[in-house]
Amino acid sequence: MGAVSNIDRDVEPGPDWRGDSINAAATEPAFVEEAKLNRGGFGVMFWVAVTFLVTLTLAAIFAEVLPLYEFDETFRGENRDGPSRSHWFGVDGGGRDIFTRVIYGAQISLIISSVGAVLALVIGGMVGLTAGYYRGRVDSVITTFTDATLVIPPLILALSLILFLDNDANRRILILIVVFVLLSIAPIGRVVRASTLVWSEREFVLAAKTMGARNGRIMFREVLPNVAPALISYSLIVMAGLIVVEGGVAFVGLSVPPPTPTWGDMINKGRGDLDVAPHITLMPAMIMFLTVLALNFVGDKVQERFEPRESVL
Amino acid sequence: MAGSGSAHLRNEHETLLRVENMVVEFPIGQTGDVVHAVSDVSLDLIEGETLGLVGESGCGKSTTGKAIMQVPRPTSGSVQLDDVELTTLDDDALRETRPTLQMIFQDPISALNPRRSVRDIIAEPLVIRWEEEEGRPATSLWFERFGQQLFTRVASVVVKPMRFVLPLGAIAMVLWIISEAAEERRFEDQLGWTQLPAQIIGFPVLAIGLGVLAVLALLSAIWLLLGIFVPFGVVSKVLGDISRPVGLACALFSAATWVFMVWRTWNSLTGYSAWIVRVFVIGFAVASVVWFVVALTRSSASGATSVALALASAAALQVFYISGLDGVTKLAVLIGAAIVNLIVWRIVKRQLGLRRDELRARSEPKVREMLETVGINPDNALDRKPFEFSGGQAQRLSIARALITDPKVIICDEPVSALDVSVQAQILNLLEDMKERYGLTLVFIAHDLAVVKNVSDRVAVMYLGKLCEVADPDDLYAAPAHPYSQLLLSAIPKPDPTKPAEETPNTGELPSPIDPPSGCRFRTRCPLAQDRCATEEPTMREVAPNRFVACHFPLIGSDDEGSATHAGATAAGAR
Amino acid sequence: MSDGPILQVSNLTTRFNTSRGPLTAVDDVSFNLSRGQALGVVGESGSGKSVTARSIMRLLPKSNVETSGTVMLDGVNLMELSGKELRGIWGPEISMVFQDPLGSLNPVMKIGDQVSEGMRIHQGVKKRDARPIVIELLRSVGIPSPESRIDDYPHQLSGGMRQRVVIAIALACNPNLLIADEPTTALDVTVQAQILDLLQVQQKGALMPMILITHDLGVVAGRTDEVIVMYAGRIMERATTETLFTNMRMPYTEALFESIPKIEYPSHTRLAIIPGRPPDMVDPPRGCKFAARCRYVQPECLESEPELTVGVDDGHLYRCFFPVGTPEGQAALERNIEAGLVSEDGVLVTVAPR
Repeated sequence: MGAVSNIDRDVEPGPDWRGDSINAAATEPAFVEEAKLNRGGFGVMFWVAVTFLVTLTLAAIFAEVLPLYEFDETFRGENRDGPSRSHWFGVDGGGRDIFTRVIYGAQISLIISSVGAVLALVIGGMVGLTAGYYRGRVDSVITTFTDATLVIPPLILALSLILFLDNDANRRILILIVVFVLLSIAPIGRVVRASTLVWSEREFVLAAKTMGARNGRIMFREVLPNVAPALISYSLIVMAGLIVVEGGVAFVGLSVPPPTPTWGDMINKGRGDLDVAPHITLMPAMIMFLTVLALNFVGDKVQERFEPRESVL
Repeated sequence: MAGSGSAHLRNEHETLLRVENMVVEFPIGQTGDVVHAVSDVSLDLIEGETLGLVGESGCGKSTTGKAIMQVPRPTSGSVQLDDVELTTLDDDALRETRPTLQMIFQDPISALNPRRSVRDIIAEPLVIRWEEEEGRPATSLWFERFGQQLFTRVASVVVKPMRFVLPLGAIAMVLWIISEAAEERRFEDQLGWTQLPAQIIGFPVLAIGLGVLAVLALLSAIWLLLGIFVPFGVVSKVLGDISRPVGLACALFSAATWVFMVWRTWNSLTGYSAWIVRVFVIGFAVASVVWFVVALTRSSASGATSVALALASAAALQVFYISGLDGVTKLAVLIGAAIVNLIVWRIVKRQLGLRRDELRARSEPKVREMLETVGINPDNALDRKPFEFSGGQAQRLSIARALITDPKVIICDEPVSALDVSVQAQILNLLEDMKERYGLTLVFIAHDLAVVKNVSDRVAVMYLGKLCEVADPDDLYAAPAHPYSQLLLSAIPKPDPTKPAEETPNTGELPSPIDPPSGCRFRTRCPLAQDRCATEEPTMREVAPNRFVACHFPLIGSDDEGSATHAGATAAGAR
Repeated sequence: MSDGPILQVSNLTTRFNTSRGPLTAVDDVSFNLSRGQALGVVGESGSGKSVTARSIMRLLPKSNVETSGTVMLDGVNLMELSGKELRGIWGPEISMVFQDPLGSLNPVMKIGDQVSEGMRIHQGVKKRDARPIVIELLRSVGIPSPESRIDDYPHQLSGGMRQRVVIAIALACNPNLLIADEPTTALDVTVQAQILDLLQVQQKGALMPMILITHDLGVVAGRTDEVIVMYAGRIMERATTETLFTNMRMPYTEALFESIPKIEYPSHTRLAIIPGRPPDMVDPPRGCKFAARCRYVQPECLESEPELTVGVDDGHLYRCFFPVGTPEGQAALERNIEAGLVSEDGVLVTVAPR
């Protein structure tokens, strides 16, 4: 009778090249899947993007300590001059050094986008998790509410909130973050909900129920750890989106008020001089573009890396 | 065969598990269609027996198994385990029965959480039971016990009114915003040309949109705020475990912050609608303070989420503060804050991990024992993840998990269907061994009649949500009484090339469970079907000693009217 | 077309570059297939049977995979064809039926269009002209009222019906070879019988050679002329179906046969298991790949790998030093029982060390 136990003790568990299950969902052996997906490491572009982002972040954090000009320091005689040795990105219409202002502008963009993305993820994540797990009426109600937020025109919302509250820089950042978060809840919630729907169908969730686990425990201990990895890469893409939104809001004059420089504000102010001094608009636009591109790229690559690992299961 | 009836059930006092007239129906789509997955099925099990439940896809066997487990509860019918009626139990009482009744699933890898280690997965049922029974860590301090009771009461009291408070709060916020706008405060000149469009478009949109948004914001705010202030309580407690003064200081600090916020808000409100908002804010503040006090006294083992939220909010606040600084000050504060954050993080993590480590250590001996019993080497397996195991081994892990709470009954939902042939034999033998060793009672659900026959003491054949036949496995094979059983038996491919593969009669397709055939559900594919089968549903009756069939014209015994029926299947169908 | 075998596979080997090293999934596989012949390939998961089929069809990914050997189909070496040429032969020359019918069909295309797709691409048949042909084809695979079902979408059909459609697609261009990879594993047992009957009828009717891949010994019995048993990427045994079942020589085949619960056995019969697991093909053991799990095992089995030998009965190939049913094999088993390696009733008790 002990024949079974004796024998398996001799056979160690280990990475199994196929496993012995006929799984209708996975008729390809694992190593075939691997052959299709495994095409080397992250790639050069990935590391270039990461380096760019890290450098930008460090520059923004340590902006005050770096040997830069002041962001409102004016150079009267050099108004609208193009890039030169002393002014790497040139001088803007008010006579201020663009390079310095871009670095300080990065502070705003990065703060707004990172804090906004994190909060949106947390809130949107909880909303999506609840909707996807409980389904039924709970799902309908939550989805209705979150979809309703999609209808709200973001600029009008920002406008109205700004009207009713004070007008200083820090408060403005807060308002912008609140607006962004509120408007990001729906898209993030949707992605999380979709992922939750898939994962809560898996049998281990059913197994947890039959063991008597409470719903909250199942959501956070069983489902969330599986939903989370994809989210982490998605958050980078959300961050990139928020940077662009800040630029858009600045066009209507609703971003952080002067003298604090923001990318959107700089782009906006430079519009008038596009024919004479395009660098005033183009420099901040270029940096914004590169940042958004880098974030998207890193987010995509990380997502790619996380997805296949699940499917080899 | 539209097998209703419970003639095959045995004496109530002898049976351990008893299912009577179970019906499971699902609505699908928007059109009001209903899938009749299980229609009036009755089963019973004597202790130590294995009941084989066999049928093809769509017959409802898996659904029956899950309905017995009450996930989800059956639409109607009764399920009695050890004389306890499961269908009417509330959630908490049902949770108490879980250790006794366990389940094993079809896909071995999918039944295990890919992100958790084997140790955690197998210990989970034990850990759940301990946490339920012992609640949070046992406390001997009177004010902590008081806090726990208060928490439970507060929770049940607060949650219900929230349903009314939230919409009221939303309306209050909308009114407030509109009243502010009506007073035309704070229009800035710099808006210029956007002022008019903002008025025309903005305010109607605002009124509607913000009403919706307000509710959403409130929901998030509640979660966030509770998240901030409850864990401040928790963190205070955690820190307090290390050093009382520090914990107390933290608690006082967070209480002060909250009071300060309320005071500021109070002062800045004007207008008639302000009172509505004030009432709401006060009520909310009171609830939060109560909650906070309770959290202070109640140590939370799973406060990890709250603590994470708290730390995240703390981080955000720090970011704001630091961004307002300049130069060297900024740098210094930044580094200092980073260090403090790291220290706090480590402390908190360690404190929260204590409970988890304790539970792990407590469960380890039993986990090891279970792994050895099912034939997996614990030393090698405990810290691995499920994907590192083969299908057969993963199924052994599932079995270990199901056995760890010493259940009486295990429902096996197609446990070997996803496994290779030679591994199937291993698992089947293992199940028999476990049954003998632990005195288990099994419900074995499968579509492979040969497997079911080998494992069971009694076999029930299902078709399209109904029972066809219940009999001893050897008797069933020797002389099937129901035409469907005969069809199943003849369709099994036999590994014997000397017998040429007989032309199986093309009996057509499975009908839809949304609109099953009237009378006997098998009649559309039955070679013996007659008019009576369409009008009258057959019920289970005993046609031979311990042979129960639901058919008007069974293959053994006689039909309802007592006249002898065909002794075997005839090819000429009356369809 | 010559009289000889229509398919000649010689020394087919497929290697994968995995993160742990090169994995040999198919190792030196050779067999022939003549017109009208049905070949069964039996093996468990990981035996290499599916990979063999895909290697023949050239359906494996290009990166990280090396295939060597030759596959002659009607005089053409499939291994040497370019992508474009391959697309030309998939359909008219060689076609495959897969395990999962739902996955094999395009959910947004009508089944009629899917069946006629091959004809339209390869034979230049116009959609209108193809319609009556498709209706007949659907009727011949057993789909009732094909005139109305031709415009259905896959989700409107049941699993058995879908698999019939997949078979119709495979047969549409009258291929010279049909490969069926576990065509009935995902289907119910009553439908399974119908589908297997259908394949048999079609195959015999058109004298089309067919390779039927399965893990179920019951499926090949009575429906194939010859059977190959694969294990660890190698051919273990090859014989006519009747010989295989009545006179099996490989211990693996015997063990496989015995581990299947037969409906005729009384209930609660203890099943003979094959202990242990298939070997790791990245770092395979020396000697016979089945040795560690074989109850006839002797020391030389662990040292060197037996070659495929031709048995006394014509065409019966197997690779074993101590085959079942021979005096050497019997003696080996008795030695093992005496040594305690095998229990009295013939069950292997401990797995032999590597």
